[in-house]
Amino acid sequence: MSIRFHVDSLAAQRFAQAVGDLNPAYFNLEAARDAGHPGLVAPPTFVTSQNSWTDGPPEAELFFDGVNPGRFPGAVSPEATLMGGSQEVDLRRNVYQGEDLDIEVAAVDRYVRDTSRGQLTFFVVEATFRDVAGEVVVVARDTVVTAPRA
Amino acid sequence: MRAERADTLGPLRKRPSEITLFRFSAATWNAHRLHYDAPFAMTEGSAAPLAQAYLFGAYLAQLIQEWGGSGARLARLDYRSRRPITVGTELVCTGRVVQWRGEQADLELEITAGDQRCVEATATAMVPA
Repeated sequence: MSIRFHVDSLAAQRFAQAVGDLNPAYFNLEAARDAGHPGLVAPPTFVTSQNSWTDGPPEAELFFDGVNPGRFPGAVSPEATLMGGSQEVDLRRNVYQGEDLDIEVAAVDRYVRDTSRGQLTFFVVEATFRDVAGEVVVVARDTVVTAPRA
Repeated sequence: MRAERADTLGPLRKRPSEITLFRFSAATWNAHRLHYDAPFAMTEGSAAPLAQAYLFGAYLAQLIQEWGGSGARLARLDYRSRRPITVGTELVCTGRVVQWRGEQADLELEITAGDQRCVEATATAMVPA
């Protein structure tokens, strides 16, 4: 099942402002066209940085630490601390503000490692973003790490 | 290297503040308390709220775009957090060109805090001549 995500212009521009990345192609249509773009560009990692591509669950359905159970299916639980891992993003073309993307998310790997910080579990989750023509635009492979709470 | 483009990227200096973390969490719909709730962060073993890993990806994308210019396009970014970064940490984002293949630049990137390497990355950018 895919998720339809609208690349909202205001949301993309707020993302850029939060980062402090004031590339004119994100904010000014004339500047974007001068740089050869058909429209305003979304920051490259805007769509792959989202914690939810929907309105998300009600607050009562978040874990006590605020983690969204649905972002990394099977990976997160209230008993584990979620730690940032890594992300590999393959961008086939620019994402443009105002377009719609269909996103499919799949868990692709899970493994455990014993480390100096105890036993860590690594989850690999892949999100594929397609445009309305069905062409793959972006593929993001996240590796998230969880550790048991002390 | 190509004559019209430097073979080093940056430095791009960042200092993610409480406001940065709040706005980035809001812009990504991320309610994880680790990024804004200091007492909670302490219960998780951190002295202060932690910056979001995705924020580093966005910093690196900015580094590449500012180096490559308005016509450049990020084609691949692979980044890994090596240590947590607490709010208020002074960060320096840098990189270098590993090789050119026509208009394609293969890059190595890092984000450091003082003498500590916090994030390491490789990337590919398409940079029209």
